[in-house]
Amino acid sequence: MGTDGEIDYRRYSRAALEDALQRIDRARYPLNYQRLVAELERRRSEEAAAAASVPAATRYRPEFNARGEEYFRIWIVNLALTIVTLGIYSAWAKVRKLRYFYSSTTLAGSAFGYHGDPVRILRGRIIAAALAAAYFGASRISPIGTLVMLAVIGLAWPWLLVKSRMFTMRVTSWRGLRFDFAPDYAGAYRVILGWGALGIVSLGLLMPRFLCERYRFVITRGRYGSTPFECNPSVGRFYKTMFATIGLGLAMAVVLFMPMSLLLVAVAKAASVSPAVMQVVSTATVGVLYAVMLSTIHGYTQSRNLNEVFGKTELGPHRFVSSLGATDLAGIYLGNLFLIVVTLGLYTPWAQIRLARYRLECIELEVHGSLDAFAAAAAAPVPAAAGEEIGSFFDLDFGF
Amino acid sequence: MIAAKLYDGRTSASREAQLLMEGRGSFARLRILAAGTEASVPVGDIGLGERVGETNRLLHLPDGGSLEVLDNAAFDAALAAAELQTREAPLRLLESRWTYALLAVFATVVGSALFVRYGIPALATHAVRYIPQSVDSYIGADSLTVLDRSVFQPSKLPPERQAELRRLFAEVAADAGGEGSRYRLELRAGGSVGANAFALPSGIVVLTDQLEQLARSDDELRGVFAHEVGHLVNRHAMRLLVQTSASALLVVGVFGDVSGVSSLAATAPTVLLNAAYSRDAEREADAFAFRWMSRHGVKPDHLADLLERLAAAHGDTAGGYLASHPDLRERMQALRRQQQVGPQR
Repeated sequence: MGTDGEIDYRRYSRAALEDALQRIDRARYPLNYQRLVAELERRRSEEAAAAASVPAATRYRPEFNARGEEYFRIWIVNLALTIVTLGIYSAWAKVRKLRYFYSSTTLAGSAFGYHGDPVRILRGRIIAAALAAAYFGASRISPIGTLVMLAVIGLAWPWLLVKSRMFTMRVTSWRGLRFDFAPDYAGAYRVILGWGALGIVSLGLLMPRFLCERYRFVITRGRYGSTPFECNPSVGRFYKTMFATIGLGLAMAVVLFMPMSLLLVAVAKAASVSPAVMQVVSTATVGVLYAVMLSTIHGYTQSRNLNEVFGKTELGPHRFVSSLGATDLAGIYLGNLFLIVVTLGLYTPWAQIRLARYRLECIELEVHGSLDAFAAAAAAPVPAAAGEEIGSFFDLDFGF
Repeated sequence: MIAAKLYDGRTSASREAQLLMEGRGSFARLRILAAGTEASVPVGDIGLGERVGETNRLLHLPDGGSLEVLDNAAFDAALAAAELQTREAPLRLLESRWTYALLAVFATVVGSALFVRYGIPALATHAVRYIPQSVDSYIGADSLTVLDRSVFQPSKLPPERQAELRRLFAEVAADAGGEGSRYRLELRAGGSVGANAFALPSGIVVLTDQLEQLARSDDELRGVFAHEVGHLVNRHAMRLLVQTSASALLVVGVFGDVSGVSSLAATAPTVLLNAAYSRDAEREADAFAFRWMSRHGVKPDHLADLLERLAAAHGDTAGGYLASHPDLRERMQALRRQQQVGPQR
């Protein structure tokens, strides 16, 4: 043991200082103890000063300025033009709608831009319609025809996903820079067909893994300018959400379906209603229950999965924060559906705006540094719109 | 001075800018003042982005940069003052007034109703002509096999009666033109299907023993045969296939943007439509039967009588918008009405 006061604590690491403080024999080395405490004090104040000088992150929330009454007029005029032109105008209508939605969305004071070309979208729609017609025809003629068509679409799905994302991202801009999607067909087949097939073969046990991989693929291939998105969602979260969803579904079946069906049977017996009336009433009841259940489950899984995905997404030094609420989302789905049915479709524009507003305003961008520093990439050509259009005709789920 | 934001196209930096429109028509130039720099660009070289609603207009500059106009009212006024028109101006006018919106609601409802009611059937009739008849036989090719395996039993009618029915059927089929020789009658004990008759696109007409027993005379059965041959002659199976596919496609194409759960709401019209098309086909087959019966001196009353007994046997007359067949009463009334008016040809 050395003499008291011999130790030079300035060369100690922070952890070693803390450790020494725990072990030191104060009575035996009072001088050392004094120096140790002084050194720790100095380090602590240094750290506090350093923390104060790092600029705090700023949070930006997208603003969605679309208005229902304005969009209603845009929507109905474009719908009428679509019908009068026997569907040809639908491509222009789509562009007009998306332009309205994109340019109504602002982040840090700048609006997004949509640059899709209606002529190319029309070309894509014609191809998609021909394919859809072939599918409808095949499904009415024979089960084998249906299977063949489903197999073809299934095999094309990853390719369609890549093409669709390339199209959507490359026609989107913010502050004069385009977004981009770097194609990776092998990766798409591995994720969609590989993990998708494993998900089905494992009877759904690997489905959360598939969902997680798909979101990761779709986001990490994306770029803003030349800055790639990073995304590292945790698979565990997806499993938790799946099990909770199964529990939720079962609980709703017990709480909603069973009492309702018992009630229906009881009413039918007691009031001796005619079978025709009974059929209408029970069909309506089943429809309503189905809508409630679907909205709730969809609202729950969407909010949980998207919160996890966006919450783990980064763009350069900036990161995203997502706070979608399951109840809010389910309420919007259900409310929209109800009002669309009651108004015979006239509520559709308000419904679309309500959903878009909620989803957009629940995402925040936590900016570390400046939003001015993104650099442009070499212009990437916009691919044909067929992939995007086929995807939307067949309602292929690309994750968003 | 018009407020705008300038983006250089190389970074995401945003700079405050002021715009000034100078000159008119094809000589118009846009002066851009931003943080000490100044540029003047011919308006003809600028890509004027389409403006929708009250959103900001984007301008694409020839050097790859772009401008986001902030004071859009002033910019649109400056464009008008410079005698420049944007491509979307007529559309913006339509989208800006409630009167036009109401007109559009009207046009949408009437237009889609007309298209669905007359347009699609007319297109389908036309399209079917280009599809070879041999393709029809693939539609529901195995439905008789499935029924034979599950519900049907071989007919219990005496062989002589069976032969007689086939002769009656051949008589009706002979009138149907070239394809008629291909049509064939199959007899079955209907089981739970009960009294019924139907035509398969492959040219097979199935008659159940129960319906044969329900008929009081062969004239009634000739009416039934004529109705089923009417389905075959008009290639209803193929036409319905084309029509339902087209209407489903239309609903998806026009209302397809209604995403997620809301698309449930879009399936209802398709179901109603398909039922309506199916009822049309039944009426057409009735009309064919009526013409055949009048030509061969069989009173259409016979078919009406059989339909009436069928309705009584089934104990329902539920028609309406969801049914695949028109209300039996309605069909009987139509047949009787046609009889009173007398054959038209």
